[in-house]
Amino acid sequence: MSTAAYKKEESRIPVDPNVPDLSKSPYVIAKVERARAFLAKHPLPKECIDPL
Amino acid sequence: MNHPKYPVVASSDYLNYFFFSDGPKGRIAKGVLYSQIEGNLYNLSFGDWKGEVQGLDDSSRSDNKDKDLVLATVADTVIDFTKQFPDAQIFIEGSTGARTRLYQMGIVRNLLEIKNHFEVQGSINDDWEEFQPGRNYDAFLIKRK
Repeated sequence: MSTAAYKKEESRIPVDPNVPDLSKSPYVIAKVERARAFLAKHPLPKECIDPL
Repeated sequence: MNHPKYPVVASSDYLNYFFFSDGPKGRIAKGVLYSQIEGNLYNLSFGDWKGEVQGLDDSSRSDNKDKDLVLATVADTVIDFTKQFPDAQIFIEGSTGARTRLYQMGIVRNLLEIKNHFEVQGSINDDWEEFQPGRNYDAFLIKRK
């Protein structure tokens, strides 16, 4: 990853305090669990694993 | 990416994004959420916002004749999210095989442009590889270069 990529850029998308928290949706909870199960069966390539 | 897209708003933590699809079926609220799986690994969830249950629902097919606009808008949130979290890796899997293929078509259509800024991996036959057009992947992993 280049050094430039580590610089946090300004968002072009405006923040709106009325945006709902989507993380509590049953669909989202199930989807994240499915992602965890998929990744347990299909581990990420070594170069993608965060060294930290 | 300079494709037409819908205006989007974000939550202050830049994990939740919200926009409206406009088409023959009316105005449909859509949400995109980036959920941390572990470390820098995040899952992308996308679906219709259902006010009655205060949640996302990906089971309905809204068929609002604006697939390309919606995909471009979701891609816009990927760009914005990775500006806020430059080290993030985004795991993307459709809720159905058809939805995963739709995401794949979106990636193929914009692959040259995407590859200027992102590394894209696809999961196929129980393994991960650099994304190549013409292969049917089960899931994708996207990371800023």
